[in-house]
Amino acid sequence: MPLHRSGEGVRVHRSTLTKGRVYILEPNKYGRGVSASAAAHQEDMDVNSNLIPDFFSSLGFSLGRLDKMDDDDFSGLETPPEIDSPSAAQGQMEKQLESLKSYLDALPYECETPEEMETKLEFIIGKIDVCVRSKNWSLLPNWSHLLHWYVPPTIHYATHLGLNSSQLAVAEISNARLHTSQARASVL
Amino acid sequence: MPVSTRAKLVRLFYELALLPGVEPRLIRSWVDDLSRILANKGDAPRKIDPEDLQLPWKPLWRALRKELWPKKRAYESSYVS
Repeated sequence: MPLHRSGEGVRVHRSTLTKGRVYILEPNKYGRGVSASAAAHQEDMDVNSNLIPDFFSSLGFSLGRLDKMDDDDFSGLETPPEIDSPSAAQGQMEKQLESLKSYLDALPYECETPEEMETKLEFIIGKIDVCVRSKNWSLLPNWSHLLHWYVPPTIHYATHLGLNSSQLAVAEISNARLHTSQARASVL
Repeated sequence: MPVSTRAKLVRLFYELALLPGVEPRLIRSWVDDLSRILANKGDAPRKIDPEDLQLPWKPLWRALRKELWPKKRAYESSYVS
């Protein structure tokens, strides 16, 4: 491992310096933080779950109600009203797509098109639907967490860490790679 | 993500969070997902307008009422004059 001798005669690993810089932008740190909080959540499981049925008995909810639930049918509750002016909503959507396209063109790496992302979103929501119908609560978080693609946490972390724009771009690339690897791991 | 899809996902996680007999860890996870899908980032425009999504408040209120003011409180008699 190459060593760097500084002016004061102190030997410092050059790679250590590099590691220190990457350490801030390393997205795996975020992952470790998340897993640490997940470990904290595990402690919450000690709560006696037998109290919950009594607790919710008067709510009018039951597990069987989910059988009637569908992504296209939420008849148990009032449905959201239609937008009054479809042309205005369509114009707003086109405006958002246009700003998204300019943002994607400015990124230093290739991204999926909105249509491809739409297809992937439908796939994920389909899996969530299957998990909910089968009441497989242990598998559901794996798919619901994939929805975080659409709300990348980079901005929050970068602002919190005080990163500048170039560091933000590097962090964003690392984040995109992390998301891709997570998605592959989940699919496999 | 289309507004209608976002609204339906929020509604799904809302109903899931109010399901009885589910581990608190899962409920917390679903509420986190709900807020992540629903919440705004800083000064960004709203992802969902009130006319796009209206959730019923009564089930949530009943759950909170049972949690905040339990009927069988051990020291309830001390408050009765």
